[in-house]
Amino acid sequence: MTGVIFDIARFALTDGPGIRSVVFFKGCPLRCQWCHNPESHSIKPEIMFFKEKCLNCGLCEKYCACGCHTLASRIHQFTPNPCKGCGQCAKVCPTKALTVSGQTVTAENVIDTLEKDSAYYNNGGGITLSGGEPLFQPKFSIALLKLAKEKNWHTAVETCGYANWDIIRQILPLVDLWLYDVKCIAPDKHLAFTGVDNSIILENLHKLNETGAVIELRTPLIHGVNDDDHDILQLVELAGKLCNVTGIHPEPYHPFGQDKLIRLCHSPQPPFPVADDNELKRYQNILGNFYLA
Amino acid sequence: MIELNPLERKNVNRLSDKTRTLATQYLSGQFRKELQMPDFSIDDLDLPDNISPIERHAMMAILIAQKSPLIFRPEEKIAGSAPLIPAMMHQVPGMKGRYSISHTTADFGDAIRKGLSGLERELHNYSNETQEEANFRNALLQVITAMRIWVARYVDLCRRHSDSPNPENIKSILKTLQNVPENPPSDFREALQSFWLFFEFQRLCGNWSGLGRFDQILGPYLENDLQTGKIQLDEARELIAHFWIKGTEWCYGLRKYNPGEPGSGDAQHYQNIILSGIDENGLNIENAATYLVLDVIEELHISDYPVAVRINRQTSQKLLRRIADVQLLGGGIVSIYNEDVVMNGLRQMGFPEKEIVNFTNDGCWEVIFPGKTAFSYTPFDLLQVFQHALFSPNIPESFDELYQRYLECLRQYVKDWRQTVFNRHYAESTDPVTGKKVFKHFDPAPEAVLSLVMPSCRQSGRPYYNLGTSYTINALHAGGLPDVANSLLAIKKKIFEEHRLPLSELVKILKDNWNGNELLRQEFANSILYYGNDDDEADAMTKTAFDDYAEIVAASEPIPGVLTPAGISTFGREIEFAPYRKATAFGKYAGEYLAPNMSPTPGTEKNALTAVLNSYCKMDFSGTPNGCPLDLRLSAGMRKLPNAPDILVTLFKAFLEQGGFYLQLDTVDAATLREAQKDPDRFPNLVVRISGWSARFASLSKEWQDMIINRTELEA
Ligand code: SF4
Repeated sequence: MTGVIFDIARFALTDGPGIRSVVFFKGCPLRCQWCHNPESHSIKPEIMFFKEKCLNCGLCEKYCACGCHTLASRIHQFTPNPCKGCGQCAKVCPTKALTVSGQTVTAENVIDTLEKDSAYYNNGGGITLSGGEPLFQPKFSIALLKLAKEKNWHTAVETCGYANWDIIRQILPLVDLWLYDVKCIAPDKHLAFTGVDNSIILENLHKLNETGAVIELRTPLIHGVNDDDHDILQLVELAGKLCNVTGIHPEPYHPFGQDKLIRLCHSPQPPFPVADDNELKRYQNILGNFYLA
Repeated sequence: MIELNPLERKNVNRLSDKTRTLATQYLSGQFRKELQMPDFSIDDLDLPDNISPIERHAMMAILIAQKSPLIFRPEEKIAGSAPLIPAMMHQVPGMKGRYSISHTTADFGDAIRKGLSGLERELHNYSNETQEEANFRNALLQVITAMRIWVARYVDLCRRHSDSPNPENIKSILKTLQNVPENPPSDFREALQSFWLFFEFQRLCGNWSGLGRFDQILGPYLENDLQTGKIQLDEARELIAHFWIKGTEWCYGLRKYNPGEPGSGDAQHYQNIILSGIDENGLNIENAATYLVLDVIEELHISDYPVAVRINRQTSQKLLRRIADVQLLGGGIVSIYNEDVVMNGLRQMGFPEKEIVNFTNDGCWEVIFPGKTAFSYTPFDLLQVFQHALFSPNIPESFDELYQRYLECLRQYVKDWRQTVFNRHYAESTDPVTGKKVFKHFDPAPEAVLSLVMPSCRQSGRPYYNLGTSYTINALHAGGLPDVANSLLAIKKKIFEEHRLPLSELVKILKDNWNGNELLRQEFANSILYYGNDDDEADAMTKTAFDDYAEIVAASEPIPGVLTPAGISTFGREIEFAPYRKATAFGKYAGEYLAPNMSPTPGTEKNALTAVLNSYCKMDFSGTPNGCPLDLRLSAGMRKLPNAPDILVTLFKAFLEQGGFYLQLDTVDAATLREAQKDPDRFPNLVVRISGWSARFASLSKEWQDMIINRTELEA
């Protein structure tokens, strides 16, 4: 069983309880304008170019079969348009100015890497599937979670909930904690800023709650989009109705996704403002008892 | 309220304002002007010509006791000070140029329990078999006299202060001094005062002994007093705080009197303290004293004495939590030993079981037995040994040949070292009768003061430096082992597997410091995972280099009476070594600061912190019984995670489970962040907590980095 991931982060401290290893799935059905991980959107492998590391040596040009790399006037230019993601350029680049985001891996491979830190999963830690969207590759998710459960690891899945309920139902018994993203309650805003309608997301959330699953809501709070008092109160109200929701973890916007877009040679999105400490305090105040650090 | 540790997450405020004020005064160097040059010297004494050197030293102790300035502040709860500048500079006051002893730990527990009178009785009970023994034990009796003189002067001084604003405190001190250090203490306060006087007198005479197992020594007195209600926890904490505060009496002194010395602010004099660990019955020591010491460090943030906690699988969750709390304050004051692994190494060296459980450390982390060890060590740069082999005239044809050549160089180095150690302890002479060459022990610096608190010396009738202790250890400490392993790995893979270029050419390039070969340098640096990334191949190479080093030292010809265990450490010497190091095959330039201790070379750890810990734990530490530390750096912002202490506890447990040896944890400060900004390649995995999210520092834009640096600075 294989799947496509773009990273495995070890010693992760903020994606669920304890010390965790997080598997980042590649491919996502949403296109949030503030996305922190734009390299996760497409399931295809993509080249990331770290311009500041490039020495303009021309090796990538020589090995690229698609002509993505040129050294016109001795300066390396990368155009991802005809790129097939073969990764030859990244292999030969001596400075690691080129890396491939997206590897096809077997579930066993991933588990071997996760196993390396199993000594740290005691005391509440474990593994988290994140992304991108783990439910976008359901079979791979199930395969990973089954293997993890054989090892008795605590499992968490971070999802945007935009999936067929059947998929969630199948995965359900293998998951100890759901980190469930609710971007915004207002349907029109949701559609405008993420590209999809949120009714299926909210419906799945209610169904999930009814199964007794442990759920932690996560909400990216974007200034001017979904962070006014009313938006946050709507979230609190929702959480209040769901008896298995332990709380809401706000994820304030940061602009690092912009850097990544540049590295992917996509045009950067106009950035959103970054919330200051007062704003963070405000989020916390409105969330009240539901606030999760 | 006085801000003693600005990094505190929570406002710890258990000590009285008076004590906190005293701490700030000491720590800001306010009292350093009281440090004095002695106005007396050994020449003032009219000593008979035939007096033995050891008795001469004892007479010096008496002179020090009589003449040393006394310092007594009425608000201090413990009496006794060591205000002599030569002592602070590792010399015997009054004996110009005579260096004193450091890097050992006396048995203060034994001295306290017996008191001066008990020690005196013990010395009288030994029958001296030679004149030398008689001279030696007589000298120790003189040291007892010296201590009595010194303490009597303090009693006098206290009496003169009895109308000061603190009459109650002075009454208590006077009452305490009526019983100790002369007799066994009857309670905690007396035991603590006695401990201080035994410690402080050897310090006044220039020695820098470690203190040993503080909670094992004092815990029983404290627990007993708490049970009978003789003392309350708060009062006991105050007393211990004063013990810590007075320990910093030399603060900033070095900087003033020795301008060349960079000075760290605190009194860096290798006077270590050990907490917890098992006792003779195999039971864990965890008592009120253990916790009060951690309380005091948490609140006062005094980094000297360095404190190491011996932990094992039975260590309580509560203690692990407390260690984590204190470590999260930054500064790395509290470190941990995995004592099962340490004791296993000692067992394999052949030490008896009842000895093993008592291990402590000397100035850094070198493992010794208190009161029983004369310790010294030889640090050296293993990378220079390797580079000597690599840069020798004939280029090796195969990897194996290179490796064997390196081992040859190492064997030769160890042989030479062994000879130096031998010469340090034995003088060659010719037997007048047989005309044969003989080797005799000799005593480079007769030492009576510290020998008094070394039970093994009292018993053997020989001083510290003359094989008087049960064990004389000269340990060999290799620096740069990870750098050697990384060099080997790069050459093996790039030269002998991938055949990128012939070794002769690489050698030329390295001699030329990668000049004009930037692409190649980057390739060598970036295309291989080195030690510290939990990569099996890199770690296997490191393990081979590690085991071979340990084996070569272990196979060294024994020196009668002297043990020569191996250790791996740099003690910060990676800075000293740097100018002598040529460029390395794993992409470092000549003169760079490379691996500290057994930690990865800066910049080669591309993976998470757990990967570093895993790589380290793959080593077999029974081969380095003298010590092999790992430094881990956590981002200072981690303090803000609500579950940060739990995360540290989990790290400790994994460290135990995976068989680590010694761990120093620190959190990152602004200065480090600034370095990381200038030189991101050295800190690729430094993660900073920003505000509700975390990011790899090197991955942030300059603007954001500036912001975080700015904020970290503001925090500090
Ligand atoms: S191979 Fe790497 S360093 Fe060379 S031109 Fe391409 S991106 Fe730049």
